[in-house]
Amino acid sequence: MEVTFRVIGRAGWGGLSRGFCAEMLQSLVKNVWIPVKVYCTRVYQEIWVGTGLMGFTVYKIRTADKRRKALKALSLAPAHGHR
Amino acid sequence: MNENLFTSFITPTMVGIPIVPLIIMFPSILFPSPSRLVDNRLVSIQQWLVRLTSKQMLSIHSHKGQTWALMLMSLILFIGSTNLLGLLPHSFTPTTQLSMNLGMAIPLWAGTVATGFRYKTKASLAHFLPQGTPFPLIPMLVIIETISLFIQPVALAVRLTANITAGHLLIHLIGGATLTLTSISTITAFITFTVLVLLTILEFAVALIQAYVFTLLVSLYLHDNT
Repeated sequence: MEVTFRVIGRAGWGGLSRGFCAEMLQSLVKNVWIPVKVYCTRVYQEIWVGTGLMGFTVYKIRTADKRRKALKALSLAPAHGHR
Repeated sequence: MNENLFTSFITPTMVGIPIVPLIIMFPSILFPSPSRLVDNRLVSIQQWLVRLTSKQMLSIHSHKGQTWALMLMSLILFIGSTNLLGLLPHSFTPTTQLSMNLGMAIPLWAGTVATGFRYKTKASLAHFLPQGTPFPLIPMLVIIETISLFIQPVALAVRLTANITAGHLLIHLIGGATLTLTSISTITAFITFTVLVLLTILEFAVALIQAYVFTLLVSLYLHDNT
């Protein structure tokens, strides 16, 4: 609340969105990112490899599903066209 | 009736926007961060529980394995709180979705395997062949061990999904049966209600046990690879 009143006093309602977001981002970096930086960048490097593997699996399943739906639509379309 | 049974597992949307990310982030609000040397009762109980669980789970690990303490504690707290919140009526449980559980299991399992191959390559490769295997059986056993390795994340995810989904379905079914039976036979309805109460107590236990089992298995896979 204190932060909101300070920012409104400085720059009006336009400043509320920009200034408040900047302060929120700074608070997020100071309280969340700085403590977990070592873990995310050094300790859990192998988990990022696993996340990449999972992302690749999801991508493959999604493209296969899209291809299957496209083929199904194509096979249905000529059947409707020849009536 | 079939449609009503599975509607609680549909991912909820609000004005066309899926609100699942909000539901996933919600349990973190329930765990306040310790900010003083001597905190209030809730935070002290939370710290005591985390200390108890981490001591029990990480005692078997080497120095490298103990660097995963944050990940393992976050995992057990997240799955436990999500499962327990899902027992509230009309709530959505993210851990009933196989996609969510695979999304947790695959990166963690792959992380443990990658850790093993990075720091102890020979020992990790040696896991593919048990000690004392007769020579003619070696090719078959290597194939079997490889399959059992790749099935680990699938088993982790499916175990959690099936347990939580089955419990919710049973509660839904027996609750529906109890309601229907109240107008037919009061004694049968009372017996069914007793079964429902016992099942709900079981589901509370299953919610916590499944969180513990998931985390313990990830911890064991890590122990094998560190």
